[in-house]
Amino acid sequence: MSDNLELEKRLTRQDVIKGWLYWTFFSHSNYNYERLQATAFAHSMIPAIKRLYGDDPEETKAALKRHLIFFNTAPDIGSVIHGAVYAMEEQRANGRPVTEDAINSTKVGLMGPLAGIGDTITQGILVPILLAVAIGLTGLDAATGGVSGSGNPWGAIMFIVFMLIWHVGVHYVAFTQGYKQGRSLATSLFKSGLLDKVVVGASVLGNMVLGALSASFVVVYVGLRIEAEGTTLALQTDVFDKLLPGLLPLVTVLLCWWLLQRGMHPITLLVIIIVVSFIGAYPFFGPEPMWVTDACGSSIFQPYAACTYPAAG
Amino acid sequence: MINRALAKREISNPVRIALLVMTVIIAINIPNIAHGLTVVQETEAQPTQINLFQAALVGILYYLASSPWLFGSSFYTIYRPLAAGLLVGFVFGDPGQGALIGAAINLVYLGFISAGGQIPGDPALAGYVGTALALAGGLDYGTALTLAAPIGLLGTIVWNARMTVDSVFVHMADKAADEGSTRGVILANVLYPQIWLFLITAVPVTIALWLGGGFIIDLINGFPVWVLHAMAISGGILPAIGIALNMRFIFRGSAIPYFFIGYFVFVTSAGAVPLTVIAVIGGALAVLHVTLLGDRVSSVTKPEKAPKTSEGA
Repeated sequence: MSDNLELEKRLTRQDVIKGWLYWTFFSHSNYNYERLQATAFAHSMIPAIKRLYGDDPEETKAALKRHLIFFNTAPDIGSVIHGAVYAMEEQRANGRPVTEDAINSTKVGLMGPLAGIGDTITQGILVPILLAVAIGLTGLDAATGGVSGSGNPWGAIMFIVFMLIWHVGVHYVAFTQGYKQGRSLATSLFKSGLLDKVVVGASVLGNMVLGALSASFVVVYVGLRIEAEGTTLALQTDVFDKLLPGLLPLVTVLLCWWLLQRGMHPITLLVIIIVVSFIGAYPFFGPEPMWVTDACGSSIFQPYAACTYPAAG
Repeated sequence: MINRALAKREISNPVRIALLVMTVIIAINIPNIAHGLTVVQETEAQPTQINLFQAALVGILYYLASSPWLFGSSFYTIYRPLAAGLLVGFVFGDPGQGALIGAAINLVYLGFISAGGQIPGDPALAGYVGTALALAGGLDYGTALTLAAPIGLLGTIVWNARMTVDSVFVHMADKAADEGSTRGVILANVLYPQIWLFLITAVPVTIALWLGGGFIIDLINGFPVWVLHAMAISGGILPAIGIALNMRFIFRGSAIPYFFIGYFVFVTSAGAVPLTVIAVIGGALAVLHVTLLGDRVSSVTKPEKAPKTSEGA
């Protein structure tokens, strides 16, 4: 936009900031099945529309309608589109050959790829890794069931503050740079290979953290004991722990992943796990009356690891 | 000149990386340090009933989690159960314990991702209501987690009500655009949908917690031992879903081995190597991995099959 100086109608810095704020705040205010973020897009265009077409009611109407079409993208990185459309509207208002079709195709063409990238980086990688670290900081302990000791609130506070800064910062940079560089920014973003590096690097880090998280919070403990010929074989300590420490939680996580990969709905999986837990907790092997029986050694599974068996006798 | 510049660069790079790593370690541990400084006296506050004031605060917080008022970043911050637990903890006077329970509930929603306007369950509802019930009833985290899972499923009703009715406001925006009224578009994007959102989030949660909270807590505390054990057992297995959902995005290609490294470092050290340290090691390995891959990095990120991001609830 080297010829910006020659433009008769110009957007001020304030207009761009306003547009950014409107989009940052209200991108999902009226999220709906029909057109998703359509009204939010139109809302964020209003500072530009007022400045550029404020004195022309017909153009105002046309511009508002133009931006009320179906729109959906990642709110943070996607604001590149808003910045670019600000620049295009500015050109159009000054009689440059920017057609309505060109604006629409920019929006439609960029919103899909940017949604994919934005959702993967923010929702798929950054939020879970930060959450995992913050969860680790709260002092949650699977071995005790979280009843002993008090939690540390600072991990959660760190999570909120960090995500807030990230969200607002990425929004601002994407919006203002989108305005300055137009749609070429999005193209160069995809071509540079930087995003690939970020995704691969974050996958490595994410896998480490998820692995540690599985080990620390997924608890599958078999309480069953087999008594034969005078000796007792505790399945957990005598079999599974000897095969490989942490074998059952690992198998559980990998099984869940495999089932989800195969297309199982997470809610189905959730119901299966709850049903299996109830069957596993029922004290089939305990003395009567069963509804007051402790799980120790009387059911297939056992809550948490700590459980002292009653003295044999 | 060129040589000098190159030499300067070569010297400064390792220093820069070392500084960066140190900064990361210190930044990650700030919450731990802050916790050590703030924990002076621990009062075991154990309210047994949820009063109207507390119920209303939790209801309003749940509304805020879906609202745009926090720079539009609610969805990435206070919509997550960890943050929800912290805030509910403040309401009940024990942010540490609240964050702990929120962290536990969050494990199920670790892989939570919304793409194209579909969500599998509602982490915020599970987080706010689940933590409130757990804190008021003194439940342990496994029970809280199992209780929160079905509540989260109820949340999809709220989401659908929002997404469906919001479509009406799009047509109001259309009408406003026809009249060239920018104010009308803003009202349709902000005011009407937010009133509706408040009605379907804050109001039912307040009523349910106020009138039904004590009932649910009494019900749970009256459960037989083995049912409580079943809830604790499923509380140990359910985090596998959250982890597995997230694994669909990153558990692939050359990053897979790192999952097992993270898992067995944690298992064999029995938690002596904390999650934060594993995250820092993961960061170092990520840099190493990306550097060694070099230009082949883009061939890694091309998945054979794109992950199914939408659950189609």
